[in-house]
Amino acid sequence: MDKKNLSVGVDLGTSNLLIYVEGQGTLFNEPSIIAIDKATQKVICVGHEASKLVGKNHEKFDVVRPLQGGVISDIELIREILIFTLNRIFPSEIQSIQKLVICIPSEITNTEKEAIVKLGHSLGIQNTIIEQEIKAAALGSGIDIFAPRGHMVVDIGGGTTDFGILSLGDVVLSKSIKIAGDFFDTQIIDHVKVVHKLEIGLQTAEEVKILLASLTGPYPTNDDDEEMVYEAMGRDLVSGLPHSVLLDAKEIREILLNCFDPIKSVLLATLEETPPELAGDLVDSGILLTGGCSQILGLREYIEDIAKVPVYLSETPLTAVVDGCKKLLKMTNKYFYSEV
Amino acid sequence: MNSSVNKEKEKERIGLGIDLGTANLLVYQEKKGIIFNEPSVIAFDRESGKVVAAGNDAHRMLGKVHSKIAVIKPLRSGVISDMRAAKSLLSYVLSKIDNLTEKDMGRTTCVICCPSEVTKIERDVMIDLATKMSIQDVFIEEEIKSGALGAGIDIFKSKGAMVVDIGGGTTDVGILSFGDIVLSRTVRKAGNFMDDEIAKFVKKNRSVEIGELTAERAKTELADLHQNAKIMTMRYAGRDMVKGIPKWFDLTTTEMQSILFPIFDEIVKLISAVLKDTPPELSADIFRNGIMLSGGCSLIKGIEEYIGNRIMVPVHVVSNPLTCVAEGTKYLIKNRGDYLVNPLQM
Repeated sequence: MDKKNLSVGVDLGTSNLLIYVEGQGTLFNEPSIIAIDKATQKVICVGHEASKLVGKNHEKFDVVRPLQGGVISDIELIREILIFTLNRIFPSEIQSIQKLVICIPSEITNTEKEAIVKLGHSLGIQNTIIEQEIKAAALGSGIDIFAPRGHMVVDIGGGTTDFGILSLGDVVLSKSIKIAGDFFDTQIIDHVKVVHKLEIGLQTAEEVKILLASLTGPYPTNDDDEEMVYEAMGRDLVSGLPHSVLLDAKEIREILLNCFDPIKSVLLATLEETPPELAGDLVDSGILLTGGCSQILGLREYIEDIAKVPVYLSETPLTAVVDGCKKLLKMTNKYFYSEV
Repeated sequence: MNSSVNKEKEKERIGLGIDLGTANLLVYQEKKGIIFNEPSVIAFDRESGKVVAAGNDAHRMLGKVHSKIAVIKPLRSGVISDMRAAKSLLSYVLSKIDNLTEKDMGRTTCVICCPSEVTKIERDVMIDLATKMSIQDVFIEEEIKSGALGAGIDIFKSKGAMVVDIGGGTTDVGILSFGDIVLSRTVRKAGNFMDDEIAKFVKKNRSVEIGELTAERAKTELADLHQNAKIMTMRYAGRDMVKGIPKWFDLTTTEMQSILFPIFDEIVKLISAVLKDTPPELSADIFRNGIMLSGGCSLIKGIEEYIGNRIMVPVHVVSNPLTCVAEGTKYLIKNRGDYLVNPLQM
């Protein structure tokens, strides 16, 4: 068997963990959630199985997101989740990984970066490279970032919304805000609690968001062209009994518009700091939206209205980063890779 | 037999002429012609200090890089401002030449052209640069002289000729006669200064910030000094200073004229100042033969008419305004700048 011949790309996102293996495609695409036994510290399960346990666990085990809000809350858990998934993908072949590219949110500090590199080393992979998600996302969406030309990418993920200006194959400027998918969910929970006196879980809130979210223009409709409503089930705060309410798209939009206010101001702040030559390029090249939440209805028009430049949606918002990893793995030269 | 021929060949001296301009770097090699003609810009990787790009590639990066790359213009207003970058740029260019290794540098004669009014120290820096490249035989000549030779003017006659070189960093005005410079003056206002003024104008009147590349593009596309020039409107992009967002804005030929006229008036003033100091006998020659314009900015439309109308002397743009300085070094290598030796007859 060939030794040391696998190249692996990892998108270490707040909400989803994606693993790409060169020549074999994306082998893992599941929520980055881990369930761990409290007494023995042994991993019970990760990914989908663990996410089903969120809010339903008993006290003998913990269900944790190791990347809370885009930062590493526990490096040991990251290690566990990586080893567990890598082992599951290729049992006993973990030694044959030769190159590892890990994509992380742009806010991560240098010490955290070093910790991840060390983690790679401790797995026996000397060639461990850390890249910013923004860069990988742009590459994965098919932008030629290696030209001397400005591009802007907005990645609205689970934990953070990242803003980046790219040119010449790297990030010129990036900003990040901890308002993204997860935050929208908690805002929806709070809203339902206050207005409808009903306590709903995270999973329900996420479903509400996926079905009802919109920012501008018409509200989402169902197959019969009727405005969508959602029957959210939870626990009534007053009586303490299970109960349900009907939520409509109008109230969800109000919540989201409030959430997007800070995103809007960070977007403007990023544009303000962009060097003028690159800002000039943006008038043509526009802004690319990616990440799970870029699928929210009317987001494109909303951003277009703020920035007054063309806005594009990534065709593969959920896998753009890992697609970019694929290209990063093939790269040899730092700045002049154009064969995309 | 064969080896002695090879030895003979090895002993042959290599002649290099370098026009280290603020905007463009040109290198002339004896018997080969101009081997490099690209912007004098170089890009470094900050971490490793390695050259990422030079010339055209680096020029396109101006104002567009991330913090891992430094894009440097080694010259400011005609003189070297960043020695390390200048050296790297030159080494990069020389490394592109075939059959030229470090060892060959020892038998290279090199002439470097500089603006007219530079101090002794600034000239020494140029020589220093060549010595650092291990070229021992270096001499400095004024761009004006080389430019005149390159433009095909026979300066070895006892006949006055006037050359105005409007380049990137400096505008040089010189009177030549009998193989050398009679009088020359420099003003540090030329192409780059115009770009800065355009950027300032846009900032003030449109509240939009633009980079140097855009300003340069606007200049080459819109500049027209004709009195009744065809009015053109072009669209450029920059960053809105009030809102911070990217924005289009329009610029017209008339506005461009209002930016450029004051700068050219200053150049005209310099020309008349030089003419005032010119010995009368030479003045007569110049009146008859006219003024020769060279340098990148002499490509601006209507410049002959604009200067001619104000000085009342015919003005001609040379046929090779961008390369004449480098081409002139061909002759200077031959006579080492000695006015008694006429290289045109060699």
